[in-house]
Amino acid sequence: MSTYSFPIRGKDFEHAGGATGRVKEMLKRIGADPPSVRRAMIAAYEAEMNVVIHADGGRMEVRLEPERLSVDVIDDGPGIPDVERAMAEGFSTAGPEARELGFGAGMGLPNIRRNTDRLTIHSRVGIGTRLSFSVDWRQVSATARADAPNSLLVREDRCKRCMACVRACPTQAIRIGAKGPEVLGHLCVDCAECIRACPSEALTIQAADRIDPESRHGVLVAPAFLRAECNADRAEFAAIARTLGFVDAIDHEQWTDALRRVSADWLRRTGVDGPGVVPVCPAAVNLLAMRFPTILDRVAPYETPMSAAGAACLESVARFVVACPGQRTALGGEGNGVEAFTPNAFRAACMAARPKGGGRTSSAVQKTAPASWVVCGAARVTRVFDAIERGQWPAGDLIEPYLCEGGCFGSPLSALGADLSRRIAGDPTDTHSAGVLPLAETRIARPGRRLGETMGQALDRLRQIDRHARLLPGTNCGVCGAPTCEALAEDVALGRASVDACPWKNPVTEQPS
Amino acid sequence: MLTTNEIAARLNARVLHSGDGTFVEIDRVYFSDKMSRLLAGADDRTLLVSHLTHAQLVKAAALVDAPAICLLNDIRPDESLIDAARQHHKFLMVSPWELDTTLSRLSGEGISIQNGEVE
Repeated sequence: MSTYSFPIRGKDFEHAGGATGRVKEMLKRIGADPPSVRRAMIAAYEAEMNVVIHADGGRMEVRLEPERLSVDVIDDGPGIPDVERAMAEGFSTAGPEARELGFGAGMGLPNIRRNTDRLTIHSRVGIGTRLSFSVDWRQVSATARADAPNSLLVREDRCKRCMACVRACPTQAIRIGAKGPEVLGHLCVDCAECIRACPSEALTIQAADRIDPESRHGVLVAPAFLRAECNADRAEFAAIARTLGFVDAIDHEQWTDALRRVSADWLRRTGVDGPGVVPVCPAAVNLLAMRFPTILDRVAPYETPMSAAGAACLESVARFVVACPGQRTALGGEGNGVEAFTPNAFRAACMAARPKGGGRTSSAVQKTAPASWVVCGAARVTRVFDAIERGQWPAGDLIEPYLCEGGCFGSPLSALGADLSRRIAGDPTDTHSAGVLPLAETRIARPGRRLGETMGQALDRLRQIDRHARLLPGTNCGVCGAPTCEALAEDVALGRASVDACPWKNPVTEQPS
Repeated sequence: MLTTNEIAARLNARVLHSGDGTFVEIDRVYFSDKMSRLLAGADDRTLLVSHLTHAQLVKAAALVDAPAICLLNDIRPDESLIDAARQHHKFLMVSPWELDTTLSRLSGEGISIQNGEVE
């Protein structure tokens, strides 16, 4: 059991609700289900406001247990002479200031009763009130997959310790250690945000940076932005590939297009409750599995386009140019026999053509066809997943999420950028036939920032984090190599770092662990 | 169902903050000038309509995941309310109309209206 106490100041309407907000953050970290969180929030906010309105001060004591949240709200207010009467809807003794702000409708206690599983009120006139309630919950299940595979390559010698990657990572998966960037496998979603942010190219993809002569055979499967850089149509690009020793060249995008069509059919056929998600971007799928496990069933049951391309080309001895770490991992990662190159390797092998100018602007959320939406960028994708999870996105739509701005055309390894690449590459339809790969294993939730597989384990770790966080200044300066003080506290609790990494830690409050 | 942007356009409302930039669909409008009623009546597809103009309105909406708030009478709210909307990524608009006209216009667009004051 974990116990927390939050002070509540009487008559402080500006900061009222702060304790409830803190509790909400904790409930999300330990994986409580959203409907229970909502009920708990209504009850806690009403109880907190009662203290603000009626008392000079008080506190909210919160106990987190594997089965439930228990809250005691204790105040030194005037007390409730007749609790039964106070529980009746419409009864209120709030003053004019509170009523002017919309409080005092006489619905606070009835609201608490409706939204809790247990409620008791002990009050003594002239001494104060203790309101106790609890809300039972169920945990959203997540199966442990501690270190998910990723294909990020760290070149420690190039790291200037500028922290740009730490700040850019959408899942706080990077720390700057003694030797440079360290990637936390359980948090990394295999996107390319750190590669984009790093000014010294200390981060890149685990793929060959040059194309050896003996590798130049078979079909070259490449992102369309490379074709755009060559200012070539498909036939011209295939000709360029042939001059390099390959037998042909194919765009990745034809597998994306095939997946898009099949996913639309799947959505129509199955009538999923809510919008469907096309698993185009491996990093977006990883993000969803980690932070939005309740909507995993909305993802079309197919492998990502790069996995399908890899499987389709196994027998034809294809070589791949990958646009991000996620694509490399989707091919099976290094060591599985599939050869993959970085875009730079291709450019080094052929710098024959120049791109032409022009381009068009594209909005961040772009409608590609009726009820089909392309959403680009880690922050936007996160918000859209959040909207889907909360049931705000209409059913019947198909979401095509990419963590890179501009989709795969916006990979940090694209030289022209998303808009110009797309403009030059043109229509995704291709003469080559591409298929999709049915999902081999059901997608499972990743624990991610969730602190434990079980609620008990998560609560135990939450308690340790809280203890370590009290030693830290809360300034998020980054000197320790972690993005925030809370992240360092979590690293310490999980045995990944020492609290001594913080030069500003408070020795007065330090306690033996 | 209309999105928050579409509702703002139909009401000719001033948008003070556009939330998190996503297309949030609204299937229900809930009006009240009482915080407890707003808390009890809101869900994650509700547009809250109120004469209240203090930051607690946004905080309460955030706690129960209500995505959008509409103020009335072309009022110019305190900066603290707009700051709170920014902080909590809530869509905040101001209707140029008084309550009855605002609700009847929304009703005319086919949105379900619930008046928390007359329940």
